[in-house]
Amino acid sequence: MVKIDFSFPSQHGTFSDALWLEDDHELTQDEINAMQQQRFDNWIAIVTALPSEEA
Amino acid sequence: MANRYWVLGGGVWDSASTSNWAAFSGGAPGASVPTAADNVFFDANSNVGITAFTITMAGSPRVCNDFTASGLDGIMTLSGGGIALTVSGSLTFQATNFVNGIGGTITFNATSTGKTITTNGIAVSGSVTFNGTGGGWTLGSALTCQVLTLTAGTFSTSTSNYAVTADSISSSNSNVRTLSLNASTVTLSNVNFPWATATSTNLTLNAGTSNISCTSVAAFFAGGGKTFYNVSFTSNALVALLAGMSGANTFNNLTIAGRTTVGLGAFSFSANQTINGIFTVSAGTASAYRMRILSNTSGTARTLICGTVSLTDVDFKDIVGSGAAAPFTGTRLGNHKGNTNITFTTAKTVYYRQTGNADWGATGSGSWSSTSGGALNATMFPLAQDTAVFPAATYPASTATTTINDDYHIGTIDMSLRTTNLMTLATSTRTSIVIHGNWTNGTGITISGSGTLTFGGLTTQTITSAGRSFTQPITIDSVGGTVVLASAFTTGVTRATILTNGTLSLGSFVLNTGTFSSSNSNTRTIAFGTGSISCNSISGGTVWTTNTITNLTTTGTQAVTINNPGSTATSVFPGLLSEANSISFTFTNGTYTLTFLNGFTQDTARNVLFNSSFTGTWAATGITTIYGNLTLSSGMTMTVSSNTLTFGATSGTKTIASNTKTMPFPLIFSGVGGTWQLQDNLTTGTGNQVRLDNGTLDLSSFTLTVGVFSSTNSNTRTIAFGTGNINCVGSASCWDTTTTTGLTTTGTQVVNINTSAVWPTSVAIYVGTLSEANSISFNFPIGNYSLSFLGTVGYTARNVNFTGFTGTLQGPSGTIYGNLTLASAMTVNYAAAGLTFGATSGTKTITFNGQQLNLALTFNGIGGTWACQDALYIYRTLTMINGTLQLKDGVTSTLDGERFVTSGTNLKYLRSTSSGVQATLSNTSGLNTVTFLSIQDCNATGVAQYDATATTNVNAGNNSGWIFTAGAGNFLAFFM
Repeated sequence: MVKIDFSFPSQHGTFSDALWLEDDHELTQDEINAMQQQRFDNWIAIVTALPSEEA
Repeated sequence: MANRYWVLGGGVWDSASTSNWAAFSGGAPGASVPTAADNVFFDANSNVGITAFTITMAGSPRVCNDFTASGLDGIMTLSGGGIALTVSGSLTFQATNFVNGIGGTITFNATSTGKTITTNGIAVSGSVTFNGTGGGWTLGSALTCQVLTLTAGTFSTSTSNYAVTADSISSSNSNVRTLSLNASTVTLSNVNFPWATATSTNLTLNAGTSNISCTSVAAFFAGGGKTFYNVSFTSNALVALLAGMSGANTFNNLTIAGRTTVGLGAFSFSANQTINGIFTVSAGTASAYRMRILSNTSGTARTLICGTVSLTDVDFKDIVGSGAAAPFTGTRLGNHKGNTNITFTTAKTVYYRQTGNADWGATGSGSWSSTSGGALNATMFPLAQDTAVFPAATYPASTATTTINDDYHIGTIDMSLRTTNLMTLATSTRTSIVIHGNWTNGTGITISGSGTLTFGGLTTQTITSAGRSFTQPITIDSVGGTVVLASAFTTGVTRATILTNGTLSLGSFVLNTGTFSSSNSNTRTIAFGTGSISCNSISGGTVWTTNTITNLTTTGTQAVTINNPGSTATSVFPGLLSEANSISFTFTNGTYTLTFLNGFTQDTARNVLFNSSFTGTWAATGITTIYGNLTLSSGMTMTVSSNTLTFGATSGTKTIASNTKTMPFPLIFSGVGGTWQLQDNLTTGTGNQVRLDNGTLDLSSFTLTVGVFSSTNSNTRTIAFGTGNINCVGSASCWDTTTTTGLTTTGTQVVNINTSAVWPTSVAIYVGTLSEANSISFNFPIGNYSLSFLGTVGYTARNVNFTGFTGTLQGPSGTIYGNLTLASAMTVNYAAAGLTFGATSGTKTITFNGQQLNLALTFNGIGGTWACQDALYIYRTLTMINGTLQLKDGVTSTLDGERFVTSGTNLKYLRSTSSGVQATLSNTSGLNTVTFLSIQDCNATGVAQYDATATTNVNAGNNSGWIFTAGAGNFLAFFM
């Protein structure tokens, strides 16, 4: 498998992850970038979800 | 170890089915179910063609060595609800064509290093646990899961610094384990405990240059005293009492986010912290958006050792600034007291500037101005050290409402200018508003709200009510501080006033509340001054409690009024206060059942007054002490109790007014130096004892009716009878002054024995050896029982009257200093010593009422005179030592079988009760030889001889039968 490390800086800290793809993957760089962006967007969605206010 | 490949698409992965397992990729099914030693693979040959398929896990947990999903050409869904998966090796998810649907915990239990966890963007919906001694796991990609638990082994986020996004990270045990965070971003969202390493024994935390963010409003960081890099609390709404940190931790930077909504957030520290970099508490959007940094324990300071601080709109309580950044400085820092090395914004006066209904803390430009009527200025939000003034008019407009819209800490509130221009200050349901300064009402203000107002300024704070009532519960929690009333204070009848710490000073004013409570071990004082506390709850229940009196002091005229006109059961628990600290209670009215002095903690009270309007019931009392006066209500009901009520004053005269109510419990009077004076007749229950241990019991002119009266000890004590008396009605022994040391009696000492005992019951009256001056008169007006009275030589009594007594007096041997009246129907048994009459003054009467006594009688009182009211008849010796014996004139007194004897060298006198009229003395036998006897009006008859020939005798005239001259008369000596 091929490992592609990537990071996205943000106000919530730097998001670092890795894409593991098959050796014979046929993804274009744009598609890879999109997958990385999707990972980051998913992470942003989690860390910015408003916590419920305690009574 | 074997490899197992999933084949044939959808199926069940359980502990038995071999339908989908092959020994090689695309192989024939039928291979054994994978064990913990076997690697499992999901690849292009796992499905049929490129179709999607679902593998349902069952039989928790499923186990394997390596778990690899790679090369899938159709969407594989791993499902199984709460099924757990235990992986003894590495785990790899495919980035695409893979759906993780298992919700159970994935446990990694390798005991060797080199394992990788590559979720490849796939979130783990359940928790992840690393638990293998000697095991080592490294992330191969970012990880998202619920709780990440490190139980044993080594976990690393990788030198590639992969992000960890979890509910929480937990590693709280004593196993050898290592957690390496590298430079990762760790985001934790757990509502309560995002980081839990409280027990950090054997935990190696390599924080690297990681950044930990806790996002919850109630995030509590249990650091376990470890060293972290950057930690942030990012919620803009951190909740007081929930958000905080434990463990003496070390940080590079520690950041607490400010608020984005009006109000007061809070973050507490349970231990000292070291922040080598920057301690940041971010500004809120405006100065009314504040963050409170405090110790978790009020009064116990926490030290923050900081390299640098960045503080805006922060309030501090019990925080010590230390390190290179000390003294801490910042913008709009509020002082909630207990702080050191923090430079607070200089106290200022601000002016309310809203016109209509508005909030104390408002958005935008806020509600305050630096000058009266000046422009709104968001930076002029009043801090805890400031004075907030409400101008006389306009701000707000008449009838407008200003609402304290969060649990702000407020300095001084000055509404004194609001007189004719009405306004309302509302606290709504806020429960933690704290006032640090004075509170001054204007006569035109109205207060509303139901949450608690706390006075906690740790200084002297004055409350000026100006006749306006509060509606809130009130708490005084001011360590070392004093809350002073400058006028009468009133809060609602359903409201509680609580003294937690500090001093409440009433001055000369009344504090009106529903209930009052101060029951803890903190240092507290209720300085009553000349004021009082009135508990006006009409709902019953506990209206007063100072049950735990540790470190509680009261001063002044300690007066509490319980004012409840209702019928619901009510309790008052004063606690075991000392005499000096005891509190007086007045029960003004009501028909309720009162629990008071019930002995729960051996409660005490000073004065206890039941007004005539109280017609309820006083429930059974316990072992308790009253240090002052007691006044009962004639309309109240008393409850029988076997527990003793003690009157314990050590000074002054205390009054007891029963108003016709019986006190149906034992009483003790025990206060060295105390005096208790009856104001009316006092009755205790028939079986109850009244005991005098110390002090003076003053009957005044009243009757004390008891079951048993006891005062037998060596203490200094007095029974001041006055013109009153004691009435003993017990069914057995009912008087005991055996040990009379220190006992004094005064007044007309009268005790009536009205026992209900019946024959053959024995009743013992232990009178003791009182002196003539202290001797007590006893009346036995009723009864037929066996009486032991004056049965010991030396025991004394004053007047003794048996009129009405039909029982048996067991052989008396004591001394009577007064009159003796026997009853005709009684029986007097023999006693060897017999009775002695010992008066030293006055004329005492002896009435035999026909009794023929088998008793010796002795008359021995210098100056005493005893006048027999009827014939004397005894079978024993009559001895005169001192004094004057008057035999009844005109009747015959008989010595049957014994002699008339004189003793001593003082002249004594034998007379008749009527001068000039002889009394007859008859002796049936023997020789009566007398000396130092003056005889007058005595006719000696009978067979016996009466030898008065000694020159020390005196023939005072009108005698017959006595031989005064030797040789005169028939004188025969009988030798017996």
